[in-house]
Amino acid sequence: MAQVQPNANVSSGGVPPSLPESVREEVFVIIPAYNEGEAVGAVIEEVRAIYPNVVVVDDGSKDHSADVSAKAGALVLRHAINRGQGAALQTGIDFAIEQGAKYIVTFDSDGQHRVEDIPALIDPILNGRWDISLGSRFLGGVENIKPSRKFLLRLGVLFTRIVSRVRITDTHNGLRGFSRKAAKRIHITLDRMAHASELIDQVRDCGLPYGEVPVHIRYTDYSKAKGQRSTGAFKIVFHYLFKRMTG
Amino acid sequence: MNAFQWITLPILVLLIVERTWTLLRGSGSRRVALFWGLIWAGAAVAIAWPDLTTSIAASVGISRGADLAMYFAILFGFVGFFMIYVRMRRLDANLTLLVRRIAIENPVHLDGQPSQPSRANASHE
Repeated sequence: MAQVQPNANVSSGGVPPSLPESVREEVFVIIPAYNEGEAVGAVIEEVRAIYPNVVVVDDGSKDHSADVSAKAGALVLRHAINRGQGAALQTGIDFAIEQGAKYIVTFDSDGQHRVEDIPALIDPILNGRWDISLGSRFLGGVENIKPSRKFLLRLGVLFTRIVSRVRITDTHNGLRGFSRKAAKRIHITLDRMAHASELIDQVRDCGLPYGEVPVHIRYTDYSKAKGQRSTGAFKIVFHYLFKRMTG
Repeated sequence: MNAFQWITLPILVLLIVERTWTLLRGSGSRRVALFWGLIWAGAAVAIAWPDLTTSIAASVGISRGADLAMYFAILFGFVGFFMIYVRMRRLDANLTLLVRRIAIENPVHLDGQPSQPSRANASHE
């Protein structure tokens, strides 16, 4: 079973390393958004204060997510129809690669991720320690999580250990960092939420070193209301296993 | 022959002829033509000689030929559902590729102008 090491440079309560400006300009932050007009503007402003290249993939939103994102200064790619978070992430990754990104970070649009965690994701890639950083809330910290959600996430970790044979502590964390080389080897085909499990399989098989980084997740009333329902877990398992069976 | 046989058998024969014609002409998928040809031929045999299905059913421990036909129908129903689902997933994947390409080629700002990111220098792969 593949086992990853947590990033020893960053402890859960420690100060993350800062990135030089030249590196920050080479980072593309991908934010998939679906009906996130209420929160995405503030998220973009917070990220853009440090990282100039923010790409929002508006996944066929019915609200003003795209307009809000553009006003906040993000590059906006619009899916004409809703295709799911996995599809939106791959769109953003493809675009970032085409634009010459050296480092790619995936970031949620509902405000649950912290900009302060980005250097911790990029630092091990920059130093050649590994090519893929996977954020882990269980190595870092998590605020206001519902016990049922925590239980489901733990089940997801167990599922990944059994089915994917990868020993990580947080499977469904959207905060990740990729080197350009790694991003080019990732091809998410599961359009909806099952992409997180597919991604772990691809990370395992891509032949590049990877590791976990402690990150902090802050659940707000907004993000909890927007989050998936627990029953969605069954759909995720079905889509993931079906994909594995049929190729 | 009863009325049901008079109605269904000519239709099935026509379907078999149409599939055979497709197979011989080489137009369309040969595998699909063969699959449906065999299905229609099996149905025609079962309707024309009902006693045959009864004896086949008895040989595998099923009392009635009609039951055997129903089991096969259910089985084919599931296989058909699976095939349609796989095909639907493929169409879905193609649709995503199309939506993605359109999105990537048309990054826009609020005023409708194309977005221009600060292009990073990708020297290392």
